[in-house]
Amino acid sequence: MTDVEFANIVYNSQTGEKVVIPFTPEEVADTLSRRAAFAQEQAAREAAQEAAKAEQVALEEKATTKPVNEEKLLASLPDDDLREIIINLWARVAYLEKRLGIDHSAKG
Amino acid sequence: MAQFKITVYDASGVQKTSATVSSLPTTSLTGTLQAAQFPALTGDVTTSAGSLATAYAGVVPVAKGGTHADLSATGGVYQVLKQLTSGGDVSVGLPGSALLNTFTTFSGSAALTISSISQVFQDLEVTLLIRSGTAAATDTLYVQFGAGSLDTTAANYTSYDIIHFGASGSVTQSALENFGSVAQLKIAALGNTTPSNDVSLIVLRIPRYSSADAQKQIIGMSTGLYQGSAGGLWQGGQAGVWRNTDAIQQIKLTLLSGGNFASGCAYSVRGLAA
Repeated sequence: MTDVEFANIVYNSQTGEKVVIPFTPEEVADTLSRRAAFAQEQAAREAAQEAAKAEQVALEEKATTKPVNEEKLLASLPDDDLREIIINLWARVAYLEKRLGIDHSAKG
Repeated sequence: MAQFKITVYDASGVQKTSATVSSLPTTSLTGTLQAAQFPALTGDVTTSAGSLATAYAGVVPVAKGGTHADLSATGGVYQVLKQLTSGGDVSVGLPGSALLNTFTTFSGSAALTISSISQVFQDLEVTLLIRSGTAAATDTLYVQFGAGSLDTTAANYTSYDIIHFGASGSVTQSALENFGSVAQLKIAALGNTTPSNDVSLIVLRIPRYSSADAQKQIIGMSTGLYQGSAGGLWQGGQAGVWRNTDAIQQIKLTLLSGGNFASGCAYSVRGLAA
């Protein structure tokens, strides 16, 4: 911490005179509050960026993963309703991939 | 002192008691003209007969190397001589622009104020080189204004900005009215990460800053390299209104992060006659 950290350096534009005016207690409190808030926001921002990166990595990994064993997966589901929902979802995904020209055949 | 006697005769050989010498060959008279013999002069340079003291009558015209202006009644801070038309009279007035403050460096404090800004110009251009001391890719510069005292009324500030990040990055925009608990305009600034020793450039233009009859419109531009590569370049446009009719005599700068200004920060101020 320097001796002017919590201070306002005032330069006189016409004379070039420089005056250091220490912060009032309120200004010091405001500055510390800003620092705390900024650090908190930055941490949240970095956490969000890390989460986004992790999500992206997961999506990329999923895109390169071999297709699941559909029969095995369906058999593991607890009831027929859920099995029907999953089958419909797969059908919709297949339809969309076809419309979008997405081809998984080259992937292992 | 050597003296010479000149006797004048007329054409018939009669000596004249008084005579006027109207013309003499240039080689006929030599020596020094005495003060009492100095003739009266008229025209641009005048003198009374018998006096060696001369004076220039009126102002010296441009054609004779003068200004055709009475400079004893003009002049003032930042004023210069200028000739607005070819061969025209030279006048005294403000230049089109003048550097009020050459780049002045500052660092180590959480606030900077440029005070006692000259009021003789119409427009103000403030150039800022800013790097926040806070370890973050970017920070935000807050700008406040004041006449005799700083205006800390939040309702008197409105700020709007559009910032484009990176070569193909995102565009963010925000509009701030009564922003936060402290009144300010908001301008993007570089944080204290890579690249080291870099600063962001911010230019503020404030038309009619010295007027006392209208609110002040501020337009700003900022750019910075926050990742050390072209992909980390931002460019921003900021607009703001200071809802106060006072003349701007001081400008205070702080950072959103509350951090100190890092080494390399500097400001310069230019006045424009507009």
